[in-house]
Amino acid sequence: MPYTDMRKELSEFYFAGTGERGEEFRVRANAEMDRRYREGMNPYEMKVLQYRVIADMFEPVLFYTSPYYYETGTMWAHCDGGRDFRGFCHAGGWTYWKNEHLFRDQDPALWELSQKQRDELFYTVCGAYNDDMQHFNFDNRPILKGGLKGIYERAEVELASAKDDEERAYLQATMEAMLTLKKMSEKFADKAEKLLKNAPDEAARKNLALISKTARRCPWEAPQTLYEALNTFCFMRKCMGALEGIGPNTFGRIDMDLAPFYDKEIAAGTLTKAAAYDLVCKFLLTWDLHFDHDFKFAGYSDHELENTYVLGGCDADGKPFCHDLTLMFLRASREETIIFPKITCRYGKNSPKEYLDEANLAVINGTSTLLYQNDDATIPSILRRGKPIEEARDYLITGCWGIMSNGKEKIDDGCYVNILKVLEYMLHNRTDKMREVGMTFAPVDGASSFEELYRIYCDNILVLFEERARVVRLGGNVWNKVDPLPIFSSTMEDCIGKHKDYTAGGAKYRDSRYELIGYPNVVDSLLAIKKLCFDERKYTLAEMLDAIRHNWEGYEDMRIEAMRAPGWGMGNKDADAFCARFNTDLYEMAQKQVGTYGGKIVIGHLAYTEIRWWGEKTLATPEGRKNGDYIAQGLTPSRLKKIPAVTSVIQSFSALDASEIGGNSVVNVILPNKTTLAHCEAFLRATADSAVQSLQVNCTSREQLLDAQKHPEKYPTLIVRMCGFSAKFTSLSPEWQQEVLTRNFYE
Amino acid sequence: MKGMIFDIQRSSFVDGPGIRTTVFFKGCNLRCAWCHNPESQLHAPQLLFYKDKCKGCGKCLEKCPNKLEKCELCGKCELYCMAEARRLCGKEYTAEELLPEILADKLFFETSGGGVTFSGGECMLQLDFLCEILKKCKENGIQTAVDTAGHVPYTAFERVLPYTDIFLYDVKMMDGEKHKAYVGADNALILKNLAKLLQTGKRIWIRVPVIGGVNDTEEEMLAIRAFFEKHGQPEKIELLPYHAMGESKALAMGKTQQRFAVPEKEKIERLRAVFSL
Repeated sequence: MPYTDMRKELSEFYFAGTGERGEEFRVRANAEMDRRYREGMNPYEMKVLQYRVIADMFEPVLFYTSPYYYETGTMWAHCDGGRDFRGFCHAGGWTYWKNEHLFRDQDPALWELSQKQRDELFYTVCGAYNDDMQHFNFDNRPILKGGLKGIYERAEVELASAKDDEERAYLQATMEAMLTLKKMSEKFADKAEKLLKNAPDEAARKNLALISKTARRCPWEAPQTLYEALNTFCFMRKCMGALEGIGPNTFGRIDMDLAPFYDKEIAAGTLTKAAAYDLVCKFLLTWDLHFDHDFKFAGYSDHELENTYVLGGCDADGKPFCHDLTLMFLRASREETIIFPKITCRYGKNSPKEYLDEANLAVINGTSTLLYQNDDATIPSILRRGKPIEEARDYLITGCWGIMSNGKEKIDDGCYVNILKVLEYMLHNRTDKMREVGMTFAPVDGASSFEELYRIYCDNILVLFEERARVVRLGGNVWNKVDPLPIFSSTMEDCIGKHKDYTAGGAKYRDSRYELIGYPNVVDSLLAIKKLCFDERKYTLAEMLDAIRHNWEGYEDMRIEAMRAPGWGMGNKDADAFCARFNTDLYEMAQKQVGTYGGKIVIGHLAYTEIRWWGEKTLATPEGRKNGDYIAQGLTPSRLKKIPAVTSVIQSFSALDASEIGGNSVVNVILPNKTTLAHCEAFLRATADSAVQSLQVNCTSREQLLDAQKHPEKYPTLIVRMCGFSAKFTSLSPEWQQEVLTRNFYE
Repeated sequence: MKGMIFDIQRSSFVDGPGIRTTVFFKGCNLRCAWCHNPESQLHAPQLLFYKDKCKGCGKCLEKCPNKLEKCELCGKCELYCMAEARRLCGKEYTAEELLPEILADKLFFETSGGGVTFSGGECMLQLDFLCEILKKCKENGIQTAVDTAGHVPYTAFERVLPYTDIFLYDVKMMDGEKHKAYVGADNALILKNLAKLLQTGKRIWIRVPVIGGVNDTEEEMLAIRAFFEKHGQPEKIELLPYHAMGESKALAMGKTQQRFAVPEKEKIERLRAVFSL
């Protein structure tokens, strides 16, 4: 593992003190913004003020060992740019916090109600309403093409035809934003020149000389080399986050976007493959060294930097894309044991073998740092949303699993909608609580057939869907008055042309997503009720309800029989047919909803660490779950089920219509240690034919994990895929190690 | 016609090429001292009881119609045993019942060059049923493998040959007396069959269990190598190091199994070198 000096220098900066320094900056910068704030300023003017103050006051941080310039020193190392990241706030949130009350002021009663609904875990959002502050798919392509200058000039041209004050304010703010970023880049150049005078060694001199020259010009002007393009990704990620207060959680299709720079330089002989590989390694290390991977993972997302990048997939014509850079990113990540940024490997039935092998190599050796995203099941789901084929093929992933069209939309993410909670309220008949959360779910106690029970449940889900859509619309419609996002919007294809900020509905698409929680638990529960209470009539429905209302106490036999009933992932034909029917019903219920600016609402099946936190607050359910047990992850079969084989899981998936799942779905599988490259490749190609979309694979065994618990020193690079991110197994708290150990292992 | 099956393992990576479904037939005419599937030896169904897994909850006693004094193989104790300490081993299938279990993973077979493997026990002892299910698999485009110890008349091979793509063939040792001592039968028939089979041009994978203190020497491997030099080379030779997994299963049947030494990794590598593997 080389890059010793870089590892040392960056870890010294990032592993301690960044939170305190960011907070100190926030206090000073916010005081200055408050001082310069005038009553009556519109939010665009406020945002410009925020940009200017941060750019004026920040002190650039450069590293002797790195050629990249990006570090503003204004945010906690773990922060992805989101203004309020795990309780660490930064200066980029000033405008938002000043205007945040506007969300509430629209309808204080609904605000109060939505708080209660959230407290009761019916849904969650990363923001006040649906103003998610993370998962932004910042598209670097316009900057790679024409620099910040190109955006500035485009906004300037459009300004002449602006129709009203808001349009003018938006375009002027965009131009100011570009100038601010230019200024920040120049400050990096100044700092490099200053440091150059006392550079400690030749390597440092080389890096600083390069920065002092490049930062004067790029990214104001379009990058010309692979280095400049890579730096543009670094610069925009950090500077945009610092100024805008949002998390750009993806580098997008980085191999595809960088390929022209690489090809041009390789052809001209100005870059060697070794030099390109070195740049890629340093780029990845830059992010990986943002925090200590031995830090104990215990809380909500202690091991997250939120960022992903997308490799492979296909081009606009549907041809598999695999470039030298694709393989370099995978190799660098493996050889340097990079955990962040997270990798999303787009794949399909026709992916090149060398691509799959390079991706699989790390996974079969127990360093599971990547997510497989199946094009063959993802692209149909985007087409179903009415998008053209070339856009569908150009999708990317942001954050953990956010499917979005490059530069054309930003779907609210982290927006969980808890269908298991509806089941819980309905079956436990929690009428008092229903009044509190303002939603009435009809009881099923008197249902005389399974069909009747199922219809009642679906109607109850509809109640939640409608309530959630009401909150989505209300929040979305005022976002532009709270905190417009001119920098982010500048790279959205339609915003400048429409003279509208993203928050004002400027993007081409404005769909929202319901990430459904607990689908496997729900279908297993319904199937258990169907079998035991209606098909076999072994128990009455009243007995079943009594059992779960008593957390199965005194009903151990029934619980065992419920757990042994056919369910999701077992490859049982009848069970799979029911699961497919339920998924279609969910899709259709979501289709009836209208989101912000008339946007559609798509469904997905996934959950973050909520599988544990929300499980702890969910009462017993009929598939055998006891009060507090885990909730299933996405479409991962429940750990209460005895799943015959990993292939039976995929068999169940084959019953679903992937095109109905526009919001992505996730399945975890743990393959045996002895999985070979050939097996892994075959497994992936077979899954490509099913409705599997996001696939999280670990290759390990329970024995190995137990040994790693006892002898952590023997397993320094045993990295497990958790919930949308990866972490060293030995760094997990005992509770999270237990979560992994109790999953289904396929041996 | 019905076959007695004791396990169906889907997504197996070890019983032939690619991703496979392995169907384990119950009943065997050999008694290898190290047998890793001792529950496969008898044809009749059996109840296995893993004492070390038992949590003592008493559920089996409560559910058993005979209060555990006599077993009618009803499976109730297995259903209610959450610790999985009780396992009913052996179930009859018709070919029509078995086929869908195999076809379920056809997609995986196709992407991996895999298929179905009929193993055991000795699957060739249920020859009529084996032929029937093999034929059905071939009719459905499934690649087939027969995993055998070869201690059957060659006429059995002649019957399965038209429907079998690959043979997985166990070779333990060349010395007949020693073979008899450890395996319970002389190896003459096994080797004679193998020599003949090698002439058919079928894909053959040889599997040699390497048992510490029994056949884990270069001399043993050289003797095996010499056999193939004389009779023709198989597609592949795999050395399978001994493990003691059969021991707990034997215990679960109320029997004991002799413990052998597990050959070291380095030794296995040296032995593999004999075959240039």
